[in-house]
Amino acid sequence: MVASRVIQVTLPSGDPVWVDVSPGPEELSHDRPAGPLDVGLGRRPEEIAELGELPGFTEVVQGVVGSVHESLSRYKPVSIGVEFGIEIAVRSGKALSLLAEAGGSAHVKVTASWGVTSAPLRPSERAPGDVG
Amino acid sequence: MITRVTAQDLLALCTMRLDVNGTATGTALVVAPCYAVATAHQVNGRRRAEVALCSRTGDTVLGQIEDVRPPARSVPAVRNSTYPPPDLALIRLKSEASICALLSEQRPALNSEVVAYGYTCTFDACSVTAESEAFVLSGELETTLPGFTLIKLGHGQAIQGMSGAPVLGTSSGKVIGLLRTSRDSGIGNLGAWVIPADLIRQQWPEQVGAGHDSFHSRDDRWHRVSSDIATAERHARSTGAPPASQIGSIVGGAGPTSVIIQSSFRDIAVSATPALPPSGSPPRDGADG
Repeated sequence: MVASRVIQVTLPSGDPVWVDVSPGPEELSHDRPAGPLDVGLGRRPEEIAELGELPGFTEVVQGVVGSVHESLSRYKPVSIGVEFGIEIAVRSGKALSLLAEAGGSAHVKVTASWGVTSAPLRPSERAPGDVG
Repeated sequence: MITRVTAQDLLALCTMRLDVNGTATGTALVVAPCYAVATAHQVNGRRRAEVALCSRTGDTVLGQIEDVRPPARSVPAVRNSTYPPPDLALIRLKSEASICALLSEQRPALNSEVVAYGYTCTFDACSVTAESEAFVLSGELETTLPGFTLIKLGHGQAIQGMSGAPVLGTSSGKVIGLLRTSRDSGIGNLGAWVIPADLIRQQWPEQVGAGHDSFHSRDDRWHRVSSDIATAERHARSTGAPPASQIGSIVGGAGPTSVIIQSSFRDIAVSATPALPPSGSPPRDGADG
């Protein structure tokens, strides 16, 4: 069994965080030969990598929320809510933000809800000083 | 009075669980009164980390990583599953050890039997307990570091936690090296890679080499055990008797020094009294002591 790895990524806010990521499909492939492995307990250094900025995180959140709103807005619901997860994974040595289920292997759970009269503003519509 | 001392007994006093930031990382070996060694990957290649070494008896010695080779900054962030050679960490102990492992200056012959002693989570996947595993020396493996050749072991399973585990030569009673890597990341018995004791000494000739030699020149317990093992081996070879590692007891001849060997653990009696009982007394079966 291939153990998960710990990676450090930088969130869009600029804050570095450590994330426990599961192995990618290339690591789970049964064609990959089982080779030598250092046998220390705990995290092995090769599992700990600093992969810099985390691309796609903001885009995933904005894209999902915006898309849900656009899809439902013509039906004029009283309120709209959406819940989803973001899984941080490593593929080909790079950290990626993957849309995932709200629970399970997701590292971040996003819950957004709004009434029709208080629809989420696009970034270009925010007033100066808004931080939401 | 006969005092039974085995090489395993002495090694158990020097084999410690290595904790870094309160987390067990495997095993470390006391090699000099003020120094222990472990693998670099156990401490993530970081110098100056504060560590704790815990014995099976519950004693804890604090220490600090004095040197690590190679350091983390020179190791690629993402790489294959093995740490680059030498993969060694030198730990400065904050309390002086009362006994140090006897490092072998020679590499054992092919097919030699050895035993590794480490701290693993095998029992229940969360508790760290002592575990040993027997191997057979199956060859050598050159690394990318010139002059740094590992010992290859076969016919045994190197479990996680065995990193830093001393490997004891059963025919010499000395530590032949430090286990670092399983040859197969699966669950097979493919064996392990070992950092040879002579290369460990070469890394730190003063801290390890001189400290180790100075200790063993003052305290000859381990040398005596090792010498008695060698004597018993020669006796077994010359008489055609079964190796002492298998069964039964071998009672040595009378004289100022006697050697009694029992079982597969090479129980060695280091004594100034004759081994044979006085006439008229029932023969000793070697099970006393």
